[in-house]
Amino acid sequence: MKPAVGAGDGASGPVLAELVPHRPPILAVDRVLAVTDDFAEAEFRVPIAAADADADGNLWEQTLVEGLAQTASALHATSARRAGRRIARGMLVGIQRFEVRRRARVGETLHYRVELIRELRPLSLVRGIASVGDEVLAQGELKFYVEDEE
Amino acid sequence: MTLQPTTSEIETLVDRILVEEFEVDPEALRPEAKLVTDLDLDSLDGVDLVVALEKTFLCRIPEDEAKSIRTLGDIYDRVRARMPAAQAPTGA
Repeated sequence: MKPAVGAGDGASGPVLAELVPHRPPILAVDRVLAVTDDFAEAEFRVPIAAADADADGNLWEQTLVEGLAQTASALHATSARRAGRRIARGMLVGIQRFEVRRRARVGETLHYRVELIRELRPLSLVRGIASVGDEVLAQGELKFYVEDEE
Repeated sequence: MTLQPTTSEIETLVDRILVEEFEVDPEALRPEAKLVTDLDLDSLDGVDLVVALEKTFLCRIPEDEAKSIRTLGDIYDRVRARMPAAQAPTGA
């Protein structure tokens, strides 16, 4: 399926804001690289002054979960748009089979990929992988509740 | 030729999923058992259960069918319906 956002023209700024409802300082993706009905990819460069980093420049593990969840927002938004539904509010309601191999560090560029495993509206289950280059930092399943269209 | 699970094999595999992946008490596994009130599953378990069933039985359970499941017997029926030639146990 042709991506709604191609790898060469990643969504940032106003386009990103349409796909991801989060705003600074909790926005955890800089750019949506690609998104279809089944998967989404995004990236995030960890800023030097990241508020959620410890004294050694290591981000909290939760930051990786948040980045994956926000990438999943782009997936859900695109899927809704393509189906002619309004972009509804959603929330992360579960994490399972999730492992963090190491924390991200200030200055690294994180790559997030989420794939839809199954949707039973209003619930959806996705598999997410957070990586830096070829190194997987965290991976697992995330469950979302996305409001049904009224 | 593809071997299809029998009705009793389907029930055994479904029961195993519930016990091993959802920590359901084996003693509570009766066809009339309600998933929420008798087996202690919650609404968030539904999508995981469907994924587990589909992986185990290599089938696709349509969303409307999945959402209509209320009892363990409903699960047996939905899975059996997705199997091309599920057979009842043979022999005395």
